Amino acid sequence: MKSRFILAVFVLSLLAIIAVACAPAATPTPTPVPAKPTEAKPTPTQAKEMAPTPTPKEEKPAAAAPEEKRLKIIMVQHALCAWDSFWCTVEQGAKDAAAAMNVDLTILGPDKFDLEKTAALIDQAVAANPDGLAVTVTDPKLFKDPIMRALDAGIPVVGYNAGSGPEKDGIPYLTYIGQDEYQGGYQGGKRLIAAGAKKGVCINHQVGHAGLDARCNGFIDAFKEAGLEAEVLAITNDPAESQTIIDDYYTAHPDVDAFLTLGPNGANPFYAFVEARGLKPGDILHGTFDLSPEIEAHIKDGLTLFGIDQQPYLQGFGSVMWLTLVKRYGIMPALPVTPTGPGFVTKENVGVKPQPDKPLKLMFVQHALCAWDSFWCVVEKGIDVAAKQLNVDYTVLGPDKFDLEKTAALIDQAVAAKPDGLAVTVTDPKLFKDPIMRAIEAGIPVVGYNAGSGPEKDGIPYLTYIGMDEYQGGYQGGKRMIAAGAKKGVCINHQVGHAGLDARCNGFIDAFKEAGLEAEVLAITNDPAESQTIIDDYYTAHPDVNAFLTLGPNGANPFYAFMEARGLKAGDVIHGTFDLSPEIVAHVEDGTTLFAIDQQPFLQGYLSVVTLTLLQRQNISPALPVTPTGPGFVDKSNIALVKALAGTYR
Amino acid sequence: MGAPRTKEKNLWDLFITSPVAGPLATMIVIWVVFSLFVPHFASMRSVSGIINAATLTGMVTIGVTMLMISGEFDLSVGSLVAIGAYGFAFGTVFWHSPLLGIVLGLFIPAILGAINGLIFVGTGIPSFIVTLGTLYIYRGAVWLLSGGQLIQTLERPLVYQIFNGRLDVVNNLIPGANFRTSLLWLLGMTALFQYILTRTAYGNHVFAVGGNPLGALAQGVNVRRVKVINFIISGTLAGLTGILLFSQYRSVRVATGAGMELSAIAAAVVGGTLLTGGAGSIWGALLGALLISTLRTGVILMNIPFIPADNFEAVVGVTIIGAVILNNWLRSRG
Amino acid sequence: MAAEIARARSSAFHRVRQRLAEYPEAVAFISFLLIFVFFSLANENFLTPISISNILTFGSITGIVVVGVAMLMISGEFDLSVGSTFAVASYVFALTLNAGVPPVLSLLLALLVSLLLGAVNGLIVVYTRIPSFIATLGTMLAYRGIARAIGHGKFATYKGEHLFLFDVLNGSLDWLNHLFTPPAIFRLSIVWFFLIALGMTYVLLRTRYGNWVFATGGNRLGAYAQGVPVHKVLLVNFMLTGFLAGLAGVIQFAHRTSVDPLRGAGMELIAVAACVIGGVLLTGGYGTILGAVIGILTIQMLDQGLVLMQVPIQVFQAFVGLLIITAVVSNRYLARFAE
Repeated sequence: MKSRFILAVFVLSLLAIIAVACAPAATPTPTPVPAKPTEAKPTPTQAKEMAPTPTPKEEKPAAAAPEEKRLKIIMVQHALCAWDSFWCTVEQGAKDAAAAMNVDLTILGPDKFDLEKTAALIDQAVAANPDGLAVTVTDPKLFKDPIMRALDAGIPVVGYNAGSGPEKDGIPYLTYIGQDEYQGGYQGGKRLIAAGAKKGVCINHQVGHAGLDARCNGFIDAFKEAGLEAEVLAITNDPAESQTIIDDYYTAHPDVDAFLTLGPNGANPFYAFVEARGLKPGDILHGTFDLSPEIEAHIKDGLTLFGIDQQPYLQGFGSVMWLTLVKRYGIMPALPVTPTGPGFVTKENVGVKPQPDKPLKLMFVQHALCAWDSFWCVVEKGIDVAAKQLNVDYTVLGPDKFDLEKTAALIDQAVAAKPDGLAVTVTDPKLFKDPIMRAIEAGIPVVGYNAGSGPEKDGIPYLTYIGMDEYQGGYQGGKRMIAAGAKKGVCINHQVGHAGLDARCNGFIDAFKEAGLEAEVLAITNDPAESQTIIDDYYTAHPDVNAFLTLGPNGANPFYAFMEARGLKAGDVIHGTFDLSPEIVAHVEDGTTLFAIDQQPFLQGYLSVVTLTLLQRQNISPALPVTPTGPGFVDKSNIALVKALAGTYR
Repeated sequence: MGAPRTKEKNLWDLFITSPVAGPLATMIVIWVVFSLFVPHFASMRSVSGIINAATLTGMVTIGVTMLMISGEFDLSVGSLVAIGAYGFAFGTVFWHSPLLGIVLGLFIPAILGAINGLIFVGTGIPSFIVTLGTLYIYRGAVWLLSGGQLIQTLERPLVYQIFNGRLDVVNNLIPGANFRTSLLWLLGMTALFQYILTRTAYGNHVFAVGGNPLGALAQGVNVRRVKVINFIISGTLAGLTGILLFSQYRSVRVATGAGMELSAIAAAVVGGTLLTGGAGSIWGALLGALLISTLRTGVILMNIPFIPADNFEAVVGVTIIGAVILNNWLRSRG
Repeated sequence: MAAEIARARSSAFHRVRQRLAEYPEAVAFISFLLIFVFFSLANENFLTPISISNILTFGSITGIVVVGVAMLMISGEFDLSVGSTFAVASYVFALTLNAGVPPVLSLLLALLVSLLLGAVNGLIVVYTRIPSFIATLGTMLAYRGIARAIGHGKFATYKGEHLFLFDVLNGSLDWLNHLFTPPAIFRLSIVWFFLIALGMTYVLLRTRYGNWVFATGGNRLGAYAQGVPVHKVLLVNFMLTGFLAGLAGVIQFAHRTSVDPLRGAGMELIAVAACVIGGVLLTGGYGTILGAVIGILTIQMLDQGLVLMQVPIQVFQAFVGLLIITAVVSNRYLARFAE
């Protein structure tokens, strides 16, 4: 009896020791099991960041670089990889990002679907006082209070995977990183109908989960719109039971020919059902959400029409990335929704294996350089930071003065070097089309950055344009100035013929026209003294103009000189500008400049690297033709935060 | 209970006093009613579907029933199913060794079952509490063991076919049938443990230990040993369930098997096993699992408008209570 | 051997142990303290108003359920259906409010429904003699089905304006919270929880009904013989458990104002675990409300503490499991010296 007791105590303490010993070690990097293709290999670590990269310009480290501060980020999600394999990819993305960005990451979730517990976890996470919080906004009403507490405590919050964006959810978090669930189901339903579906069933493995319910609603609505029938079938946690439930349902409703499963947990028993029934591809139509080895195999053999990929890796990666950018560099997501999907994976594009360690050589061709336009220092800083974090090699190419012809030639020269990815400023789509097409035909993935309008408008099938929506920037800027009392406006363009700058002016002028006011464009030159005189002369000729928009530091600099020379004070005229420089920051502070429209150039460089790297390593393609980095308004309210980083990161 | 009686005794009496009587009677009534009134029910397809859906729960229930007859609970079986499946998956997927897979898939759960038993006999705290504790601990162990990752494979080695492949020999003879080898394992284990329970000294000990522990002790039965062995049986069969699960679905995640402990207890009790121990049968447990499965299939096939296809679990709940009431009523008459 | 050791030990130590053994909640209290001290030392964010208020606020909801479950367990029965009752009450409250029923009436309706569900459990157990474990396992599934059916499997979200009733049920204790920066999240549910726990403790220790509860759980035949209305006691306890589960659901809804079909699932085992950690005997007849209260607070504290330590949730489960076993083992160890 005594010995038994001692044995039991021994076993217990052993278990305790194991639990305690393994727990903290397991947190940052749980034992990798090569189950998921996204798994298995260690991610680029800080050690590798030390590897020399051909940096075109070495900066002296100022005081303490923001990268050096280790951040603590917590993610709270309504499910875990532990019980829903979909989340393994999300968590992998988040872990990879955390490892690359020098972040301590904790992922919290309930041990089964439990929204109340998830809400409580948010509160518990807030208590840990993290530097950033990412939350699945599964039930906005339930999660509102805890998220508000995080925001009130000054913790930046992003939503991911589940949610509808800060406006629809009624919670002012930064952005929602994920896909529209309803649209996913709706588009999926439409594809099935297009493939000949007559009656559909949505197989839901977790009824009551708002996201999954929304998928089913979208699916059912697509059928209803087409005048067809569809309903929901609930399955359980036991695959054998679920298989029989699907089988019985099919027996009771033999006319159902279209099945939508909502993830691997539903697809797994569905495939067992198909096999048991001896159904062949073509007997029924199947679409599913998400991907797994099994789903990919069945997309290949034609049984499954499509997997709706919301690119979960990007949701995890993006959450950590955005919080880090917000906290370290004060960079804000441009839009209330940062989409990661839906992306349809079909027979054509299924099954590229991730290569998390693939060495990459990226090339950047831009129409200007830090060497002669300080704006580009920030872009190049973004490229450099991202490249170091993700351990990729890069080269930045640009002409030694504004020369589009030379820039086009540089694209061709870069293509010759056969990089793994190419980023190009699409300053002149017509001129750049041929060289970019040559790159695309050579199989090199291309993104546009800083200048461009997206693949459709530019007429060049590159992946995505990473930059500001220029027209929107000018339009929103014009509206702000009108609201501040502008009567007649002028758009001071320092580079007429630059499509992006022209678009800004068009937006500005349209905003004035809409308000029944007048505005026009004034062209200045590259010479600040000349430019100052041009502005001065214009003001003399048009003394009724009280609103000036400059399109960057190169326009703002002579404008400030003009104001000083004329003796104009803050309040005499309304000035807004694009971009930031120390000078612009000072004038925003003293009230001379109403706002600076920030296109977040750091982000343009940074996201170009991230997008190309994720494409090559994780098979993730950008969700939208335009990946906006701005407009982001900097005014008196947030200038202090931005000031500290201006010139380097902003 | 289960003691052989004189053959001359009225067959009806024999039936009515057997623990199988309740579940069997219910089963027959339900099958007759469903066959008559539920479209598509009377087909080999639904028969094989009902059986397939009950295989995993059924296999776990055998071990749980043995344990319950000896008067103890095992709430940790759900976690052990996951451990068994992971063990098997590690062996077969990563090391490509079926033997290693089987050994890991059966032995780790067996050892953990033994730990359940040893804690129980060592400390004397109720098995309900011991296994409520290990239910959580083992689930944490699954997480540590797997690193939180799911294992999925697309291969179909022979070992998967043996454990849970299609039984095409039979399926080709009967149109619409879809039997799997897991059925043979289930029947085999049911027969084996039914035999052990009713035809061996050990079986008598199990009944004695559960029905009258003091009496058993007085008769020289090693009560503790019987219980520890039953915990090991329950753990091993949970591991086997994990192997069957992985063999068919080739996919295991940390939450695999969660909630199975309550399904297994429900099946055992519906099958006539007493919660207090001392009475029950393996055949009954199997019938219990099948009964719950039949109800579920029936409700889905019936297509009742006010019970939509996403709310049949409620029917299962009502069934459990109804079946136990019927069992008690039959038992009180017998 | 054992005797020698026992004799060798100082009599003072022996006395302390005997004193401890007289209190069912002693072990729970000691482990509570140990864990508290551990987290306080191990993490700087633990002894903060936010953490402490998190523990109390979230613990109080489950805590109200635990009080009922503890009463029931002391009288020797289980209720696995509490989580489902919790959900049904929340749905009834939400749906009737949205249908325009006066708030107080829909509150009463929700509580009445949970009382009825508890009564159904009690009637099944008392009149069919089915073990409560099985009976409530069945009703757990059935009541969950009711929650799904009345809510059509969807979320129910309160659409109207903020009600004064919500403040009464579970208002934020703003005057207290704003004493701290950043503000804490203490809510009225904590007060309700402690009031209910105190009330039930009084009933259990100071009333005839309390004696009946102990008698029913401890020695049911003896209780019959002494004329204790065993059936009535069980029925009342089941109704009480259902009522408290429903009340907890309503109180939580007053805070969250939305409910999903899976709300409260899994609560049943956590409630049993809390009671067991708190020294309530599984077989009935022994235990205190205070112990159960400490039990649930310990679990909640582990939950918060491990989040702060950045330990994944599965390991939290393992810790709860370990705590259950060690607490009961220590309880038994002490109990040997109770005489």
